[in-house]
Amino acid sequence: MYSPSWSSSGRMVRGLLPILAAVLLAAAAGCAGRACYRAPDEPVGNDAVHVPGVVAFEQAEGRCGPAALASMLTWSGLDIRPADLEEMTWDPGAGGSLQASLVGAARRHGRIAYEIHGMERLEEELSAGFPALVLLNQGLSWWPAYHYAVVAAIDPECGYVVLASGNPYLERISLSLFRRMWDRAGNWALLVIDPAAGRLPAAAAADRWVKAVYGLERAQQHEAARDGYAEALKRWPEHPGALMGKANALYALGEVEAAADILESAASLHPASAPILNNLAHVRLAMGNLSEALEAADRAVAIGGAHADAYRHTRKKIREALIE
Amino acid sequence: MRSGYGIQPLSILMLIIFSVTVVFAPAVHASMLPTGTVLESEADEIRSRIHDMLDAEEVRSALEKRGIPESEARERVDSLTESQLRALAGHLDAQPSGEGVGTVVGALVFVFVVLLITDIAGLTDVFPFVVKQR
Repeated sequence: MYSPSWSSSGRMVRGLLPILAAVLLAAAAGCAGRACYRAPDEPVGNDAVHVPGVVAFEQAEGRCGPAALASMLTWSGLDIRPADLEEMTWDPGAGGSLQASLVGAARRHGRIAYEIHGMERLEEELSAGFPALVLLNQGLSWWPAYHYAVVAAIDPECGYVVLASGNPYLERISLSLFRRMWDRAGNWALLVIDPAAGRLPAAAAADRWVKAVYGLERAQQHEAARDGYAEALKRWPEHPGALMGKANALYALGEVEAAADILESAASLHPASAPILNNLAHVRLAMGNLSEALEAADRAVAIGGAHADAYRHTRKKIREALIE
Repeated sequence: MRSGYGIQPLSILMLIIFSVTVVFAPAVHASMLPTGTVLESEADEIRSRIHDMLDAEEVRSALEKRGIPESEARERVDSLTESQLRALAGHLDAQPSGEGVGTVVGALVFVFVVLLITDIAGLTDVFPFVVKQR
């Protein structure tokens, strides 16, 4: 993954052979991603239709990750600048940002990070009004120059893509070039969604969405997680992960009774789910319903499985409370 | 590093040790289980195993010497994607993880986890499945 830093010789070659500029500029300025290469493309005129609310930020040297994520978070309703994201996403050793740290930073801002792959999905989500953060390889497959950008529009008929790509204005590149650069980087795109906005990606799948929301739970973003799970339940009202997740978020927010209500119905919908029974036992215990708590814990222990220790521990705590 | 865990008999022995010790390893702290327990759980298990490795003082100090504080190391582990974690699973199984938690960490675990975290940080480039994008 590491290539030698060839900036100076690259610049020289670029001056000598303008025909090769496209390739060499990527390699030189990109230094295999050390600095994010910016395509010298035309600013977008008024004629271009794009997802409203996508703002392009000028990137600092090599900071295409923070710049692209700032565009996404701004679109999602946050007031944020690339510099605010540097600490979370910038790896001095790598001289860039990892995809995983962009995902993590989105979650730490209470936004759902939803990964998608492939042109069909990308077009579909853009048509539905979701911009997408993409990883591009502006170099070659064997000499990569990675760059993050935000796709604000795809026009297959006219053959262009509108990008926020490190310049302080939206720009346009040809669809075929975009396809090549995106393909060389693995066709990876990221949607960044405010869970309170009340809408799911165009082609959201239940498990994928719930897992994406679970990322918020792990990041301790309980309010955002609650909203994300609630959104899932609107479309998939019986999804065990969404039910348990919403209950967990409510419990973490101190709304024990609301959490208990959801877990009661979750347990009747999914009577064989030991983790749900375990958590039901726990909230019943928290509410002082000891005998009912014990009943749920007994059922969880009887089912057993990967978290059997946790179920026994819950039951032990309930028995202790019963003795007191 | 590859040669370190490429030794087949050792790997197999460690795998056996690990699969025995893992049964006794999990410490239960909270009764409320995370939602991940009803979702696909393999990745989360791998994640928590790496977190367990980070519990060892010597691993933490080695990472801090390389400029990565523990909190940052943990956040990086948390930010690994499901597919990256699954890719890790095979490598992790070749590690003598079982001997580690809270006690003395074996040399191979030590090297593995330090390199893993620095790999994610982009400081080293040992594991091909840790994709470094910039």
